[in-house]
Amino acid sequence: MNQKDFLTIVRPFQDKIYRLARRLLTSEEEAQDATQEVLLKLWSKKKQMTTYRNTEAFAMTMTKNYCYDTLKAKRSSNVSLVHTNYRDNSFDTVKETEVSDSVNWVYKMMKDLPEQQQLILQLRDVEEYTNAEIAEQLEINEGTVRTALSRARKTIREGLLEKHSYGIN
Amino acid sequence: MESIKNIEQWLEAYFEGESTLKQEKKLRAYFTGDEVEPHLEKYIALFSAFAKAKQERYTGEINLPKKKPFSAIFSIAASILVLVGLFLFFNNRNNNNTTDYGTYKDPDVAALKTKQALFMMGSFIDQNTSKLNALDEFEKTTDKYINSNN
Repeated sequence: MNQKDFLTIVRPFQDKIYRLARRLLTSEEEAQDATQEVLLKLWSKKKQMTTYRNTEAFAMTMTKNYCYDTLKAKRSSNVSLVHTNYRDNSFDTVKETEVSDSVNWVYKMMKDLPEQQQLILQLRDVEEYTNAEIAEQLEINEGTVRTALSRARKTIREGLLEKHSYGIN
Repeated sequence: MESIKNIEQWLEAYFEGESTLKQEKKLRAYFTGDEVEPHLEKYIALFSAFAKAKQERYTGEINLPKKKPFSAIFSIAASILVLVGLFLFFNNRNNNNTTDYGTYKDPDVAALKTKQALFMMGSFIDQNTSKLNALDEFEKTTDKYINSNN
């Protein structure tokens, strides 16, 4: 397999890797580094790649592990997690600017969820994977996925309702 | 447009983690659309957040190590060189090694043939030395004068 073949295989899910890392890690730079690292690792395992049932699922698992490791290393070196603002450079419609404040609020709430719930919410509601696929990628069982998903969604709903009742929106 | 009853029902299932991907897709479409019922407006942010999150793209480059394929080419070139070298070496050695001058393997035959060859040489020498007898005559004549001078 040459680099061109590899990039063709990787292209459909490289953004998913990035977005997953972006959800868990604090900055765009970190997420980009993570993506590069994961793809590099995948490249070094390219010989086995054809034997994997599902390269994409394997890549997502690697991303999860990489992010966990990064977060762990950070915690142990006592660097506090700082929420950076999400740069809004894709949407520019009037409606989006109105909504963007509360959208950022949603991202902030997502960041406050336990790591596993963040991952599951991202994989299900953003990437639209099935629970079975998520279970495979995160190496947990399907029941856990469903429970965590419900918990994560409810937590965010509570936050939204609270914010809504203050009339900020 | 989906009926509001469906939306409410799916939303309930959504928070229980029991909605299907298809229903969730329709929910996203509804909440990012233009007509959202006022009592459901609070969920717009949630679903637009997901829709927006999906727009994020990896803009970095993918740097793969370039050493590997190059070293492969080099090792192929090197092994070809080695093969060519070995081929030439053995070829030359084989050419120099032609020690086969048509010698006889069997020592008896070799001895016989050597004898024959030596006899042949001997007979040639005999023929030629017989011609030397003429020199005796020459000596006789010179002796006559030299001895007489003495």
